[in-house]
Order: sequence, then C-alpha cells, then structure tokens
Amino acid sequence: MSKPGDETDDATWVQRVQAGETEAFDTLVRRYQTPIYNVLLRWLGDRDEAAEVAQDVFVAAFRALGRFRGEARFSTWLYQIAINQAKNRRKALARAATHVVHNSGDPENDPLDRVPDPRPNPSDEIERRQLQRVVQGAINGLDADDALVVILRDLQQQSYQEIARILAVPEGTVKSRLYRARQALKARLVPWVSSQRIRL
Amino acid sequence: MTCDAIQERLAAYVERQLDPETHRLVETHLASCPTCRAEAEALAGVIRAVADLPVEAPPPGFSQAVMARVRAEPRAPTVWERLFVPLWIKLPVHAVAWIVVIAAGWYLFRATPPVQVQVAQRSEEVVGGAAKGDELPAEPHPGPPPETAIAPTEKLPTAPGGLKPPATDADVRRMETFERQTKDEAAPGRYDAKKESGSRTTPSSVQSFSEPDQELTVALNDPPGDEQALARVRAAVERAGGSPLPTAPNTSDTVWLTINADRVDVLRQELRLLSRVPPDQPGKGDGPSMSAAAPPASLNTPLAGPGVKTDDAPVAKVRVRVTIQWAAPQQSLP
Repeated sequence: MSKPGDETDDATWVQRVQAGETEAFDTLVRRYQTPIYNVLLRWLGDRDEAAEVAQDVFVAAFRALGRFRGEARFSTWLYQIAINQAKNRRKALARAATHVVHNSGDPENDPLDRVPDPRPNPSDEIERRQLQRVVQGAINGLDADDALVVILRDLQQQSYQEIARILAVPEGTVKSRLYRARQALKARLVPWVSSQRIRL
Repeated sequence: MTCDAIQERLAAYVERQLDPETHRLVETHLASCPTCRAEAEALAGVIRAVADLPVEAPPPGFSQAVMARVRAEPRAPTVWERLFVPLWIKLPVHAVAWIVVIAAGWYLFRATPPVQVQVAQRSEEVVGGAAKGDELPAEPHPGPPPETAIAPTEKLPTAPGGLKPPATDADVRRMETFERQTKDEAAPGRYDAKKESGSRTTPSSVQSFSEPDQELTVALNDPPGDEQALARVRAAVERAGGSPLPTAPNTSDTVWLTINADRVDVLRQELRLLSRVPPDQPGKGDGPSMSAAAPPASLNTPLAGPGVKTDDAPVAKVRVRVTIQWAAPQQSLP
C-alpha cells in the first residue's frame, strides 16, 4: 500500500512516463501490483481472474496516463481503474456463469487453499485455512459494493476518506455499506466467533 | 449511555477511533452489559477475520508481463501528429477552417461602414428627413439664426475682421460635411431657389468655395477694408438669419455665409439698407447690386412656385457670397 509520503514520488514517476519514458512505468507497476492484485483477488474470488484483470488494469492505466492531470492521487486513480475493470469482469463472469464458489468447503477445489502458512502448528494451520475459506465465501456472498468496502477497509486499512474518494461516494455511504457488510459477515461467521476461534 | 447508543459506537470502539472520554464510557458499559459485550466481540471477530486474510503476491513475472504489453502499446501521438496527421485529411480540414474564418472576417469588415461616413450619413438623413416633410422648428421673425444640427460651422466664432484663421483638418472635414448637406439633390419637397435677374442661384453641388449658391453685392460708402463697415455687413447678415462662415476664404471684400434659402430676400433688404446708392436713384442698385456674373441657365429655379410648399416644406440652406464694393478714395483737391 502506498504511504502518504509516496504521493509526491508517484507524481514524479507519472510525469516521467508522460514525458515518454515508458520504462519508468515499471516502478509504478512494482509499487502497486500487490495491493491491486489483492483487491481484485478478494473481490473476484479467483487468482487467475485477479491476475488477468490486474494486468489489464495497469495496461489501461498506461494508456490513460496522458490524460491524468494529477488532480487526484495516482493510487486513488489506479484503484478506480481496478474497480471498473473488475466490475466489467464480474458482469462477464456472471453472464458466463463460471464464477467459482469458494464456500463449498472442498479443499481440493479451493483455489485459495494453496496459501503458505508460517505458523508451525498443523492443526492451527488447517483451522486457519478453513476459516479463510469461510471468510472468503462470506465475502463472496455479500453485495458487490458492500464487499468492496469491507475489503478496502478491513483488509487494506484504507481510511474512510480515501475509500470515499475511490468509490466517489460520501463518507456516510461508506460507513453504511461497511456496517451492512460487517453485519452480514457476522451472521455467516457466528459459529466461528461464538466458538471463540476468532480471538479479539 | 443506552445500549442503542453504545452499539452505534461499537465499530469506532473496536477500531479505536473514539475520543478517550467516549471510549471509557463504552468500555464501562461493556463491562456491565453482556449483550453489548457479545456484540462488540462479534464485531471485532469479523474485522479480525477479514484483516487476517493473507496478502498474496501476484504471480511470478507479473510486472514483466505488464511491461511487455506496455512496450507494445503504440506511442502517444505528438501535438504535431494530432494536428496534421493524416495529412490528406487534416490539411484540407485546416484549410477550409481558415478560409471560413478569413471570409467571415472580410464580410464583417466590409459590412461595417467607416465612422466618418456614418456621421455624414446621419447628417444627410437629418436634412433628407426634413426634406421628406418633417417640420422645421419655427423661425422667429426676425431673430437669431435658427439652431440646426447640420451647420456646426455656424457655431464657430467669427474672427475679427471677418477673416478666418487658417483652416485645420477638422475645419476642412466640417466644411466638406456641410457642403454635402447643402447639396441640392432636387428631392421631393426640397426647396428650390428661384433664379432672379441679376442673381445667381446654384445648386449645392460645389465641393469648394469657388461656387456660391447665391452672389450678392453691396456698395458701401466706406473706404476699403473699413472694419466698422465690415461689422455692419456681418450684423446685417445675422439680422437676416444668416451665419457667417469663418472657415471660408473671407477677404476684406467678401463675406461668405449660409442662410436659409427663404431668407435670401431678407438679406437683400438688409444689405440694401447699407448700400451707398440713395433710394431716390432707382435703377442704380435699388437694393444691393447683384453680382455681375450671369447665373448659369441650368440654375434657374423658382424661388417659390405653385406646388412648392414654403410653409411646411423643409428649407434648404444656401451658401451666399456677399461682395463689398467700397467707395472710391476721395481725391484731395489741388
């Protein structure tokens, strides 16, 4: 995630790309590939889809960089491109009915199951992966706009103000969506919470 | 605080965004309220569950793949390319655009007459409007020259001796405008001066002071150039309603003036009173001597005739040159 202090640095690289220095774009790609990829990963629920869309996001950003005037942060602008690209992909997936459901509980078919776990305890690892699948499944079941807010806020720790800028909605709307998303997630995760498997 | 108020603040409490006082109040309430505490724990659990989702790195080679596609992108067109490429399309478009702009500008330039012509046209319209039947202001009889809008030269002060200072460019322009105004165009209703014997009436088609509309001569008993005599002549002009023209080539022997055409007779009468010819010598200048110059035949026009309204019709101004015949200097007796 870009830090506030990187905003000026982003602008410098943007200007170099706009001046014709194509290779300068690689710095911006490396800086934002992880956060952009992860937003898409959690919102689309599929690694291959997320990787493909993330590439499209950066290529689209490069094409549009000539029109970028620096009125908003580069990161805000990039996130907006990512959300637009992801929305188009969600529509396409919905039409094709190929969206992968990750709350099936089947580890053999769960694309998100191949997560390396640094913790040494195997039973904890299994439980943790199971919880991740449940959480991802709960996110997949949310309204798209609500899911996006909880991903940006609780997963990527974006401020309410920044989320409002990215989504172009008032902060009050952001908080409303977040409340709704958390209530829905709580309903899905109550068994896990009540069993105190989730520690406060 | 009530449970509803507490639960409204639970998200901010869990995220540690409350001010210290409110945070303490919520914490105190949670310690004694199992319902709100369970709600807080559930909320915290959800937030933690999402936050604990692993952050994954993009697939290996991701940035290289992106840059490969970026390098394959066509270069953004330069300003020159955006304006002129392709030439076979954009050059004709630019040419047509320039032609339209130039043509529009030329048309606007041609459609707007110069300011001087506009002023003259407005002045002519005043005279022409009067010629079309507009009533002129009633003239007092006798009285000062009527105020008109077409003879700004009448306002000029008369130089001592009747001689005008050297004409300036403004004077010349005013005179040219005046000359156009007094042009006899024979428009309907315009006054046409009658040609009288010995007098010459000319249409105002002159462009200089060589051709007055009327020529009058007054014989005076005074020696040549006598200032008082000249002053009497100018006074007679003004009594008749005329206006001296200081910008005209007045000399010690001539006085140029403008006067309404229907006041020429009055001027004649006034000048006759100044004449040296005693009234008991008829035939010899009974009244002011008329100019010796025979009027051109083409200028014979009735002073007033049937069908010509002199009451309501607009009266044209005529330019008159009064020539002074001075008394011969007396020879001393031997």
